[in-house]
Formats: sequence, structure tokens, C-alpha cells
Amino acid sequence: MITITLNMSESLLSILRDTGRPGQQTCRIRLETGASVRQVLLKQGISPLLVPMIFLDNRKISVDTPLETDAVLTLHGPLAGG
Amino acid sequence: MLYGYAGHTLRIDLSSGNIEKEPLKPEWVDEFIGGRGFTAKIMYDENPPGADPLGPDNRFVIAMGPLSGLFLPASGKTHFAAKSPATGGYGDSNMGGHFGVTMKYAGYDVTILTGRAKDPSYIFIDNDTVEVRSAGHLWGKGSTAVEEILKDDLGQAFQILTIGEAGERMVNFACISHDFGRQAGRTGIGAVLGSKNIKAIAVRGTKDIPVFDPKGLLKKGKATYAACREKPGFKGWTPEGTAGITNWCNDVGALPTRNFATSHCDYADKINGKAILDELKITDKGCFSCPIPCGKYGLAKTKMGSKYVEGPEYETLALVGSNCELADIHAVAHVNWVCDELGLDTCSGGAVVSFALECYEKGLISQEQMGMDVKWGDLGSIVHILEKIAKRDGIGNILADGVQKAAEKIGGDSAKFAIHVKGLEWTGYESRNAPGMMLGYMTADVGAHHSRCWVLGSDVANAVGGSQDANVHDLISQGADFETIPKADHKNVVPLVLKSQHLRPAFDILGTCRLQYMEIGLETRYYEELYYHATGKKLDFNKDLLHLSEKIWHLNRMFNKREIPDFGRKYDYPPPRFYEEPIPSGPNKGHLVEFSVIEEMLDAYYAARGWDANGIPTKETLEKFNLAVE
Repeated sequence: MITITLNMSESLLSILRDTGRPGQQTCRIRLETGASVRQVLLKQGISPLLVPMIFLDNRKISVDTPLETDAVLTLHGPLAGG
Repeated sequence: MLYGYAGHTLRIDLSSGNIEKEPLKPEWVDEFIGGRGFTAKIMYDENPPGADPLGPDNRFVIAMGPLSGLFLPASGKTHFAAKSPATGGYGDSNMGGHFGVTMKYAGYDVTILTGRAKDPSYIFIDNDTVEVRSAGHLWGKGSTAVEEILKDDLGQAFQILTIGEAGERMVNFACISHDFGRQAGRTGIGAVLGSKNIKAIAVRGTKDIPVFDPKGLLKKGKATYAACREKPGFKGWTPEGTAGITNWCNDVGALPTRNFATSHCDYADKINGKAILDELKITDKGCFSCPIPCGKYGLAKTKMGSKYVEGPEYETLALVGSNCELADIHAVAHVNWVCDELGLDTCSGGAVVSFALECYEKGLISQEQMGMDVKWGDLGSIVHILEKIAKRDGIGNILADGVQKAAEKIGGDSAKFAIHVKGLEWTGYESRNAPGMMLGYMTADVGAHHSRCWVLGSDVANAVGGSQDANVHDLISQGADFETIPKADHKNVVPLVLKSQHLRPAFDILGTCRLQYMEIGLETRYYEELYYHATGKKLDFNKDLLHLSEKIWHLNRMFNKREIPDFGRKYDYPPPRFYEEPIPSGPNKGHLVEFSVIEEMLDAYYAARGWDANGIPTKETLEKFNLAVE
């Protein structure tokens, strides 16, 4: 088992709030070693379509990246461009 | 003492040469606070009704907020406003950088230009010294060259704002440039400056801004930076900036492609944030006091040469990239550079070029008119069209007025694919399966601009049901059947649209960038406390500031009613393509917004706003907001 510190940006949290699914800015979750980010999202009830950017310890990764060790996972929601 | 403000309005009558410095009006401060609040108030009160947007009577207003220029996160926003040549109604645009900050250090919260200079000129401001100087040597030059010349002549401490050739020739989507790559792009604000024969404004300011509690502000400012750094979103925004959402927009079927004919392309990986980092980027570039610099400064290399350029931002990637089928990041960045040099808004610029390419494809513009055999996705064709526009050469003279007016002259069925609202070109979010986003575009005071309201994420959440759609992403990623995103429900979008429409002006009023709140999640109490230490006044963000935001929406609506003959509901309709043509491909294949839904959303929106069935604020609504306007 591994421990993931899960961060969510305000851009994602605000969408979750609007859909009646308030989330936390930071929480810790326990996972089977090798679980994918997609599984994390499913466990949290978050659609992968709402998360355009995912960072694992500050490195951008894809939704299918397996999580092998304890780490900080940060999920960014979509935001308008400039 | 007026804390938080420089304390003065600078008025320059370019026709008479009269320059006046007067105290900032307390009633503006008390009722409208700053920035976009000031511009809405001044435009309604001072612009003569019926003024020609490109005539001497139109006001060109520059305004900063009470937090502008203080050492707080991203407090470098400058707000510009005028009656828009694109829409004939209220127009504004803002930008970051360092210009407005320096205007405030020179002593001016507000600057109002009227009249028209006899000859090409630039405005020189060095604290209390204000002069209108000859710009004969600058006329015809590109934005970068003008900045370099003026900084070499006057000193590097001067901040420069300039227009390009497009502004000189009053192209309806001419922009203002600053800081070698920052633009106030929308609503044709650069054309208004050009109409006044003003090529540039150069400013140096070295004065203090009086604040109510300097020690408290310093302490709170440091605490605010620290709070930003500790937020989960802090590190994620900077690497790719706004370009980071390109693939997401493509995945959810919102990336405008081929003049909004569809909403998905197969080359998003070639024009996204990663492509910028891999192919272009030299360094990050931020605005005044910003902790999350989102600008990317890089080198574009194409057959047309190598050019240093800031950008492209997401909007440019979408409108110059996929919307013109330009599938090469260097080519998109080169077009970005061309637009910057010519002084063209890349949003409207890309949209007008894609409109022209579709007209050409359909035989509505001939090869003789176009001057060459233009093609989708061809860098040379796109640059050719943009240069014709900036020079108002031949068909470029028609396209220079924007897609709405161009369609009236080109004829055929071109009005159906002229993608705009109120005369302002639609930006980078195709919305046939995003009813909230579409309503936001439709009802924006300045026309189809994403910065007025952005609820696309909520539309997607609405369509896919929050968490029940993991398979949707699987299917899209695998290139399987794209008819997988369900139709988004339009029933409950009005509260989301209103919330977004009211949040955004709040930051424009204070003079700060909204990203610290919207991406990082900086709590509103920080803004309330910073405002208190700066001004000595209490401000409830959710009550007072959002109330003012709403008031500005009503006031600008009344400006449009006054200025645009027969203004009303019909000005809020989207282009026919969006309700007549189902999306032909991609994740939202088959979707459109039925016209009955458009009408239903407008009815609900007007009712929630306190506007009548024609979209005009009722007497009761105006009284509720203490607006004595007709």
C-alpha cells in the first residue's frame, strides 16, 4: 500500500462545488501500489474529463500513470486562457 | 487623504492640446472603487450619446484600481475603455505588464483622452510633465520597434504602450501592445487610439502611492504571497500557462476548428503547451509582482524567419491554430508575432482569417480579390490575409471591419458562419454542447468574449454527470466512437453564468489578476484585508464588491441601449452556425443548441437579472442599484 497526498486546485474544486460534490483542497488516501491516477479519480468521484493537468511531485503526468510510491498528486481543473 | 489611489485624473484634449490634472472624483471612488468600475461610470456619464467610435468625441479611458501598483500578488492590471468600433457599444480590454502601475506612480489613477491630434503623436508622461509630442518617426512601425525606439530615446524606466499599423488604419480589432508581448486585445481599443492619431504613450512614474496602513499592508502582502505559495495549485499553472488546457479543450469537443465548423482536431498535440515548452520557450515571463508568471517568451522558427515572441496563449493556439488549421507550433507563434507587430488582436485576427478562408473556399471571395490562392493551414496564406487587413488593402479593407460587417458586404450565406456576438468575434471555446458557456458569450456586454464569463468546466461536468463517465475519456483517448459526450443540460446554467459574470469584474475593479483567486484559490478575505490596509475602508467581497459587479452589468447594458439603435434581445443571439449546423465530428458530434433553447435561456437570464423580455433593465432594477440612467 502507498499513501498519496491528493491536492486539488481551486479551478477543479469550484466545478465540483457547482455540481454538488464539494471536495477538499488536500487530503490523504491509501492505495494499492501501482494503482493508476484514473483509479484515484474514480475513488474520489471525479471525472477524468474535468482534470486537464495532473502533477506527480511537480512532474506532469497522464491519467494512466501508475503510482508506485508515496507521493503528492495535484489535480488541476480547466481554466480560461488569456 | 485618499488612500490607495494616486489621487488624480489626467485629461488630455488632443484637438486643443489642453492638458489638465484634476483631483480624482470622490464619487467615482465611493461608488465605483476603480478599474472597470471607473470605466463604466465614465463612459456612461462623459461619452456624448451617439459619438462616433472613431471620431474625436469618443473617450479613451485608462483606469487602475486601488490595489494596482502595490506590492501584492499580480496587482498590475490596467483597464482601457472606449465606445467600441467593433460593436458600437461599450468596449473595454485589460492587460497586465507594468504600464498602469507606472501611470499610478506618475500620479494618475485615470486618464481620459478626447479629440484628435492634428498629426501623428505620442503622449509623453514623466510624473507631472505631460506633453503631446510628434510621432512622425514612429508612424508605420511595428509594436516592438516603437517600444525599442522610445525606450532608447527616453530611458529604460519608461513604460511604453503602442499601436501597430492596424491601429493607425483603425482596423476594428486593432489592439494595444506593451512590454514586448502583452496586449489589451479586444473590442478594437487600438483603433480608437489610432483614430486620435496617437501612436504611443510613454510614462515614467516615481511617486509614492499613499496607503492607509503601510506596515499592515506590507505584513499582509507578505502573508498573501506566502498563502499563494502554499496553495496546491501554485506550481501547476506556471509551466505551460494558459496553453496547458489545449488538449483538454480538444478532448471535450470545445476546440474551435476550421472557422468553428467543428470542435475537435487530430493535431492538438502539435499546438499545445508541451509543444511550446519543447519547441519555443526560452523563459517564463510575468506581469508586475506576479507569483505565477504564465507568459512564455520564445523563439519561433519558420520559412518566414526567426522571431522572438511572447506566447502563444491558449486563445491564439485555438483561433490562429486549429481554427485556421495551422498545425505547427512555430507557425502559430510566427502568426502571433505578426499580429503583435501589426497590432492585431490574435483572437479576432484568427477568427477573421478563418472566416475569410471559408469565404474563399465557398467562392464568396475570389482568388483575384484575395491576391493569391490561399489555403487552410498555410502560414503564408494566413500572414498574407493579416497583412492585407492591417493595410486595409483590397479585400483586407472589408475584413478589417470584422466578420459581422464583412459578411454584410461579402453576402451569400457568409452571415451564417460569421462567428460573433454583437460584432465581436467569438473566442476559443466552441459551445454547441456548452449551454452555460454559450449563454455567457451571448450576454456579454462587449460581445463574444470569454473573459466576461467562463463556465465551460461546469458545462462539461453537467454533460458527463460529474463522476459517472470514466469510459468517456477512455473512448476519446482511443479514438473510438466520438458520439460519447452526452448532451449538456441547459436548465440550470443561469446561476452559474451570473456567478461567473459577477466574479470577474471584481478583480478588474480592484486592479488585480483573477488567476490567484480562480486557480490558486486565494480566499476573498485576503482581498478584503489588503483593500482595508490600502484604503482604510471596509469591503465585503461577496456583498459589496459583487453588488458593484452586478451594477456595472446593468450600467453597461444601458450604455449599449443608449448607443445602439434597436438594441435588445436580438443582439444576444449567437451565430446561426451554432443553432443550425450540428457539430460534424469529434466528441460532441451531432450536438447543437436549438433556437428554442437559446430563447429559453435568455428568458431565464433576463428574469434573473431584472431585465424585461427584450433584455433591457427594468426601472425597478435600475432603482435597486441606484442607477439614474435611461
